[in-house]
Amino acid sequence: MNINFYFTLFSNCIPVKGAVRSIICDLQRGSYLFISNDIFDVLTSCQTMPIFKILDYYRNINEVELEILFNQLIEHNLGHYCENPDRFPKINTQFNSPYEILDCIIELSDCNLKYIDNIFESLTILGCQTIEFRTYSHFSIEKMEIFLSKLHLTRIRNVELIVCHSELESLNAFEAILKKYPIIETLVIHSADIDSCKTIGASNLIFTTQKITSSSCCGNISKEDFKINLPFYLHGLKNNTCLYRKISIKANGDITNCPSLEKTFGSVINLSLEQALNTIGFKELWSIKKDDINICKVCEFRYICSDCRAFLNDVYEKPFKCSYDPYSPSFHNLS
Amino acid sequence: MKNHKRILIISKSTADISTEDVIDWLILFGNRPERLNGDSIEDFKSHSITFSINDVGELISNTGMTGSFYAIWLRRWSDYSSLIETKRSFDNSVSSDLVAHIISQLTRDLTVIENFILSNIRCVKFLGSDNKKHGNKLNNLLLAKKHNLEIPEFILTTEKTSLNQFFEKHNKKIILKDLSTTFNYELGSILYTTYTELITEEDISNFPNKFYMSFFQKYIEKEYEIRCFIIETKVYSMAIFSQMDDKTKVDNRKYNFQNPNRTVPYSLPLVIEEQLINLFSDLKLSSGSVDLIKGLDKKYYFLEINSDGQFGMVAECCNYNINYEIAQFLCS
Repeated sequence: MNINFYFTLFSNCIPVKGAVRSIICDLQRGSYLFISNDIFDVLTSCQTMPIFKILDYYRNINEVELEILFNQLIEHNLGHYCENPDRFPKINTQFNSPYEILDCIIELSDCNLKYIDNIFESLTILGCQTIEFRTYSHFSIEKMEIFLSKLHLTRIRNVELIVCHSELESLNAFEAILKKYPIIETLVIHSADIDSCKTIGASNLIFTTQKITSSSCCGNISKEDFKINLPFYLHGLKNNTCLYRKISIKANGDITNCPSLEKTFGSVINLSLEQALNTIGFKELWSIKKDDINICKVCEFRYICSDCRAFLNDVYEKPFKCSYDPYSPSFHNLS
Repeated sequence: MKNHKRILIISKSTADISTEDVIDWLILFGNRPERLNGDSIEDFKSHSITFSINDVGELISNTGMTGSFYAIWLRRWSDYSSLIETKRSFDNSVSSDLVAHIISQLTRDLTVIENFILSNIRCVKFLGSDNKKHGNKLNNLLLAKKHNLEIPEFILTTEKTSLNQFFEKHNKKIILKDLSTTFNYELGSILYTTYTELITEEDISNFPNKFYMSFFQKYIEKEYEIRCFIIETKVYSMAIFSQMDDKTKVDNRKYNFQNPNRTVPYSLPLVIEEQLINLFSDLKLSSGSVDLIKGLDKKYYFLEINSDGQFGMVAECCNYNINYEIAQFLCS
């Protein structure tokens, strides 16, 4: 080890310090590695100090130990030795997007079907790229197709369809839908008899026994739902990862931040989405970032957590359906 | 906010994501760009497009692409890959030799049309370039050297004896590279393609004494690779740590999907950036991508320019706002 060199983490491998332990989020490969808070401090200093200065500064760690640590990180492909760290600048944290709305959730219903042309026109103006259609109970495929057949008129690029399993619809009909509309990235059929998944073309068809029977089935925080990628991280630094640039339309046409939130900002029956978006209060929760939320702000998972601003007593409180305690640090069973 | 400047975007097809991303910024700026897709000319079955000349000698078309534009972005023209479909449409009674002749004739004809259109549309600001015009690797290497950039030593030869001398001179570490585009060949359901390969002593012993003129280059032991996207005088660079993986060591296009090469923002020394900008201005290129290598000898080696190369990955991995920059250039 050349102690005149620096050891730096790759700029898309972000160390995040928690109450009692830290992680390195590998935003490129979508994984994370636990490290102690002491190592977090050493690695943070490493970004600006050559190795000999680190040895001088951290008297409790010797050269052999340090080299073992660096080799482990190299093994995980999280960092590298470099002569001049200025060549490897940090990733600019400014998040830029030409879209006023990034995600839209629509509960499929006869009401929304009636106003779909207005809804899609608004989403096109707002630049919406991703849409999620949901049903909590049976909704006919014929009606579903009316929504899907108009998608090409919008700027939507990704579609997720979450529908309720029903004896009335055949598996073939769903497979045919995926073949006809390759824009659907994932089709989830909930309340199914068994868990299974397959691919149709480039789309995923997922059957889950989980029952998504109402909007209260959302908001669970678990390791499985962590989102470890650069855009999500950049969002989370400055905005709320759950609600930022999101708009939802409930089955009755109510326009909300998310289907699980009660507060409505009008109805598609008499208001455009752009008007609702500019209603006072619509963007209020957008700016609540993880660093502002009690407990979450000392959680090492704060920049990869999906978050939920619907089920809680206070908007600055950690999600009610999160069982993680960063102080213990462990996941508790919800009782 | 309205921006009524006429902007034309020339792209390969509607499937080009970078084109879509730039258009989305233009829409936000209140502009509705016009668009010409290269494949709409090839794919006559799904498009109807007719070009003609008006009384004052201007190129006009039924799709409205007439008159002069404020700005034109030539993202990339078609690579004529849709001709594969044409090729497949012949039945077995047509000899494969005749099919090959027809396809190469169609390619030449399409090139004439492409050149005609590109040289007869008028604009105040132009961005991008035709790779067919600026894609001569050998010219670009020579010009790079003129601008004081390091280049890996190379030879073009038909002689095994010259190749052997070159091989020995560079400690038996040389590579063989495509001169034009990548050679793709579909046999059955398998797509064969050419990659840059290290040449071994055994390879050379199997070569005949004389062969078609081929391009050999000194193999540079690298610390990492650098991909840059240049727009006017702005250089966006990304380091690619491909040498950590044996699979991508010689040619990073052999992607390792399970474990992608580490890609991070990079800041080139200013002197190298200036040399690249000068090279681009010498080539009259307003934008394009450059491949470089940072050698273990600490030198930066210029490899090649892809004037219509993909920049989406550089923008995404490094959170560079390239789409915005392009949109800004076009409408300001």
